[in-house]
Amino acid sequence: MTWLSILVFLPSILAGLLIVHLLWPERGWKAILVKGFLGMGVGLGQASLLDFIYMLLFSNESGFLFVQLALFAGLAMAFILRERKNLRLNLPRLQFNRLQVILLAGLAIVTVLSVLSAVNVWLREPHGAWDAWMMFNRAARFIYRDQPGWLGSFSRQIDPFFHADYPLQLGMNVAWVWQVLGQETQRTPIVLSGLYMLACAGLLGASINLTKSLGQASVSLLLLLGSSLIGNEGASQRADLPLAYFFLSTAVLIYLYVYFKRPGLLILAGFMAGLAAWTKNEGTLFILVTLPALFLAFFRQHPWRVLGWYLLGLAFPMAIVFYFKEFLAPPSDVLGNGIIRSIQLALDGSRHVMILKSAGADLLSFGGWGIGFIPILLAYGLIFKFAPSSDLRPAYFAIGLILGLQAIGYYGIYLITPYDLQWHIDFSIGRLVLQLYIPFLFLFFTIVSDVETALAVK
Amino acid sequence: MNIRLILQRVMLAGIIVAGIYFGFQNLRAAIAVGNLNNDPVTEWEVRFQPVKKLLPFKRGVIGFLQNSDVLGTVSDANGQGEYTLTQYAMSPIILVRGDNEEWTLAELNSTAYQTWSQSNHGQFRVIPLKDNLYLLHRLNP
Repeated sequence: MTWLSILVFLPSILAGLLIVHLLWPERGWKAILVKGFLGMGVGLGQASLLDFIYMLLFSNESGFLFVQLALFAGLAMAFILRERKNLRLNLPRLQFNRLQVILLAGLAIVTVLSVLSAVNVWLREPHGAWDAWMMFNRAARFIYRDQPGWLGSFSRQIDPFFHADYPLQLGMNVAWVWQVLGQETQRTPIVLSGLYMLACAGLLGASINLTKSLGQASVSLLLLLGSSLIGNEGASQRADLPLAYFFLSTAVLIYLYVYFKRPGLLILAGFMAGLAAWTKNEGTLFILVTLPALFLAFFRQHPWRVLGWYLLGLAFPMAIVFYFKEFLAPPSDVLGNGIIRSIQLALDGSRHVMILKSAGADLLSFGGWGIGFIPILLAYGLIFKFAPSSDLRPAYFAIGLILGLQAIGYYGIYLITPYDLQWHIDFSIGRLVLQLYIPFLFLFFTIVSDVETALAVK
Repeated sequence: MNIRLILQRVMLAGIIVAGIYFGFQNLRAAIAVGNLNNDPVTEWEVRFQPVKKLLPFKRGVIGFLQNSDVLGTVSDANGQGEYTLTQYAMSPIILVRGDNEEWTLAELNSTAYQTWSQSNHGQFRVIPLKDNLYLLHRLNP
């Protein structure tokens, strides 16, 4: 069932890859690697969005795989028509210097350890961690187990504790693959979580490899995979790693837009941000913060045009999210306090102190290396020197502002949460930091001097 | 060799060694957490299979009773956990607290069941199941 699940996801992922290529026709192996990891998210995201529409129209049918196959075939035709004169496969000549060999060897060991940790989590908890089975896999069951009555999955009678208002990206993807396989198997959400782990780590490495160097990409991946962040959290089947992936994708695509000046990259950035909102409620906040951040970052470079391309990509996923939230989903409990009570909570100084203390403690210990990753990165930056390129300043500013505003948004949500504040912080802060840490790693390693230059071994 | 170059090499070596060391520690900790053949969610699934077979519908709303609902005690973490697991196992049937629905699933110890039975005598057909589970069918819905 593992291989069958992968096989069923494959046309969607290939369609995603072709969508990315049609919008960003950059050539070269480094770019193709980035496209591959972007294509995984675009593919899984579009499949989930289209399946939502398909279920609204034909909930008695189970032919969604043919929709995906038709989409893939159509995109493949468009690709062949456009690329028929350039269809030549040039294999890359791999040549590594000594530093790169050492870093890649270390990375290979760390990757194997991380994969073994993930396999252990999957074997021990095939249904995923608490949140995963309670929210996302439960949603998949509600959809799959009674397809004609699937809209009952959003009944107001479901206890708010189960968060039936949560977006459906993961649930729809699991449910439609179960429909194709004709059975409910835990291998499907396990494969889905594995695909997001691969896409997230792969995109971080491939994008830094494209824009900086192989050594720099290896160091960033050592910091990501050498902790429990991917191996454990990714395998838990929760939505935080997929969300972090969509945050990272948006950041990478904004950066690549400044780097390559291709509007298609902004369309993709908007699409990825929309998929973040289709994955978890924090994604909606992400969309809200990206809009002013992009406007300010590109203030001297046609900000309306930049926003226009971005909104073009955002429109489809956002329309689905809006429809789901407005017409199907029960109300969210996080904003359940009402305005007056929320203002009272926000003015309570002790809540600010509690949040800041917890956030500070988490940032200083985040990553599980004894010392937190933030102090490690600070020391790394001072030793290797920050070397930002003036041409890429709008990208640094946009990504930095997005991450900063998103963190402020999380702070605000803690302030007005209807739950016990300390419980809410303890339960979620590590995952919120993870969501922002991965795109931050990308930003950090694009600003710091690459290791080959610093050690003069290029 | 200048000091910065030495620091850079030490930093890189440290990241590689720490990555491998903590990756290994993380794997060891993951293995130590628990038995691979003892997933409580899977066990819960098996426990509730008979209930699903007895219900006359695939999707709908049923009541859910626990000891705390009957005895008036505060639901503990285990009670909340069992409610959550039961909802997951029973999907897409929706569980609502109480016995106001036509069908109710009760997970009661003998004291709680006796208490509930005395105050609801003759109102329900009771189908006893294994492990303190009862399926209750309201006679006059």
